[in-house]
Order: sequence, then C-alpha cells, then structure tokens
Amino acid sequence: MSKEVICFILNGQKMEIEVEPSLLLIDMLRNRLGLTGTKMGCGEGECGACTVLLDGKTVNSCLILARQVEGHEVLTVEGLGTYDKLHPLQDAFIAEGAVQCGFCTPGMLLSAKSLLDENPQPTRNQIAKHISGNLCRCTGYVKIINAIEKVAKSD
Amino acid sequence: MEFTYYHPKNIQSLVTTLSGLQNYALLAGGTDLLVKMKEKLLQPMPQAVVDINEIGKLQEITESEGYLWIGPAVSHTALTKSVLVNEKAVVLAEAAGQIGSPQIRNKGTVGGNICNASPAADTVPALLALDAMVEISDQSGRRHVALSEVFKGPGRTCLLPGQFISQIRLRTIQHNEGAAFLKFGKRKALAIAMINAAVWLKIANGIIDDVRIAFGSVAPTPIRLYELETWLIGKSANHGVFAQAGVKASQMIKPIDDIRCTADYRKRLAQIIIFRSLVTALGRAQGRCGCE
Repeated sequence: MSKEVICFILNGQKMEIEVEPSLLLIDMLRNRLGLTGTKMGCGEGECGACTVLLDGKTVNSCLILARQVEGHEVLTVEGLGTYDKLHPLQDAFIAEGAVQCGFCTPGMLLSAKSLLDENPQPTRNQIAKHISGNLCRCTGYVKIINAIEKVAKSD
Repeated sequence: MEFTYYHPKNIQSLVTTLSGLQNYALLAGGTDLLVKMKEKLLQPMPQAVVDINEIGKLQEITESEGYLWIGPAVSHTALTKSVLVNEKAVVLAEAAGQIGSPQIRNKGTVGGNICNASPAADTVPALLALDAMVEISDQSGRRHVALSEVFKGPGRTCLLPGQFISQIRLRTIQHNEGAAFLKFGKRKALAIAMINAAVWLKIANGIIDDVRIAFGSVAPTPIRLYELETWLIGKSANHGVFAQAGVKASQMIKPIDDIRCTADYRKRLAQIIIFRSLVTALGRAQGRCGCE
C-alpha cells in the first residue's frame, strides 16, 4: 500500500499528512493527530459519536477514508471553541446540563453547529430531526434540545 | 483492510481505470461499503477502491423532455434539497429524506442505494414508481436498462465487472398525476424499513388511467406489483377501491420473518401502506396535499 501526502484544512489550519489508503478519517484524527475529542462508538454510522463537519456538513468520520478529505475542510470539536473561550453551544450545553457521560457531546455539538449555520432559528422539531443521527444513551435529549434552542434564541 | 485507492476525475478516466482492474469496489457514499469492508463481509475483499466522488458529471441533476436525469453520485441530502426533484419528482425527495440519519444522507448516494441492492433500499421504490431507467456504462459504451431489471437478489445486481451506473432517468410527475412514498420502521431515524412502498397514479375523470406500485422489504429485491396495477387500471379512484387494493397487495406478497419484523406483520403493514400511499397520491393528483 503506497502512502500519499494529503493536504486539507483542519480546524481552520492547513494540514499536510502522509496517509495509507485504508486509513479512516477518525483514526487519522485520533491516532495520528491526537485529536481525541472525536469519539469512536459503533464504527458503522449508527451512533454519530464520530461526527465531524466536512465542508460544513455532518459526516460520520468512521465511514470516510482519510484520503477523501484531500482538498476539503474538516472541523472537529477541538476547533469549535477553546478552553478560554468556549463556543456558545458549549456554554449552553454546560448551563442546561446537557452533558452527562459526555461521549455523545462532541458529535452533538457539531450536529448542532451545522444546524444553526444553516438555519439560525430552528423549531424544536427541526432540532430533534437534525440531531437524530447522534445517539445519547444517558437519555439527555430534552436538555440537549433546550441547549441548542437557547443558543438559537439568543442570536 | 488493504487496497489501492483510485480517484478518477472524469467518466473516461473511470472507464479506463475499471477496465484495468480485476477485483475492485466503487466508492460513492461509503456508508455501506466501508462497513462491509471493515467487517470483512465482502468475498473476495476488494484489492482496489475506486472513489467516484471527484467526477462532477455523476453529481448532476437535470431535466429534459419530461424526464429527470440524476447522477448516481447525488447524495440523499442533495435529492431532498433539490428544487427540481421537489417540483418534478417529490416522491424521490421524500424517500431520500427518510434514509438513515443526516450524516448518512450527507454521504450516501442514490446510485449507491441501487447498487447496494438491499431489498429495503428506500429510494428504489420511489424510483420504480417513476419508471426509472439506468444507463450502464463500460469500455464498450452505454446501454439502458429498466431499473426493475437491475436487481438479481439481495446484494446482487446485473452489473458486470467494469460496468457502472452513469445516469438514472425517471419520469417527472405531470398534471393529473400524483405519487407518494411511505415507510414503516421501528423508529423515525436510523431505521431500515420493515416495509416501504411508493405509488404513482394518473387520474382521468375520476378513473385510474395508469398506476405503478413498488414495494420494498417484502421480497428478495424491491418489486413492482404489476398484477395489482392491472387490477387498479380502469377502476374509480376512491378510498373503497384503495382499501381493496391494500388487501390484495398483502395477499400478493410473500415476505419473510427477519430481524426487523415477522412476515405476518409485514402483510398487515402492506395493506395499510398501499391504502395510505394511494390516498396521498390521489390527493396530490387532484391538486391537494393528502400527506401532512
């Protein structure tokens, strides 16, 4: 298997990295780049824990080859806010108690961001539909929806 | 999982790439392919992966002479958002919008949904109801095949090595015509259909002038119910006739028990899904929305 250097934008920064064809985006992010905010859940596109934004759209990073992001833009939870200045969605998740175990949170935040970027004033129903690819097993959906709604209403 | 990665930039280059490969897989959305490759469910495992996402031509949606032409690499999200699809073939937008999750719809494609050949594929009944035809290309040229002829069994199509779907053509919905897609799953998101169905009908003076009925998850492949279509043509388009059609539909199919539900339950759902989708399609043919 021949390795190739790919070039893409990761969290706003230009990135160059050598990858083999079979490397998955999630493994590149977590194992090669140390960005462990993106979680590996089911590995088959059911749970959404591995959700990242690819050119602003939510995708399951466990079902994309690293090679496929060449020339594209990837945003992970590490690019959402900083420890000093959290993203409004992160603040709202904390304020509303929308985080329990936290495993679904990075994916939930990115799904929420892609929704608000596309539709800044979603209804609760639209929020629920947009996060339907992100499973929360602590049953925190109501608080998650509250948090997203709070950010939408504050804009 | 070891393979060589190809990413041709145009159709000619795709044809050439495929003609030089023995054991390959085409990568469109990857939402099924990569799962199967990770779990080593493909026999033999592909030595090469040919990514078709960089071929712009395969992602186009155009209209001409009463037909919509849809590129196989159009994503489900693109189908649900396309103004053209929503205006001319709304049933396809509805089916695409009920697949998987937003993440899956952002990557998964209509051509992939066909080639994966799942009996439960959601876009396929919608395409069958719109009399879809696929253009199959290879080194020797292009040929056209009715979509209903493409499926050979669960996970199997008529595509031979070196061949790929280069376009999908479907009939647009005209005045006095209506179509509907319905799906029953265990949940609204991330649920593979226990049963799905799409119908298209054409009404003239209250009579069913023409009709197409397509079913998923009730046979080894998605199917058209030609017998029921013949029975319906010439009858009055009303709820009584549609209820009878539902009963007949459930008698005509031979579903199986599987992980999602039992054959008996599928037969009960068949009756309801055909009735409801015919009612919705009629409402639309008559110029009102019978769905929401």
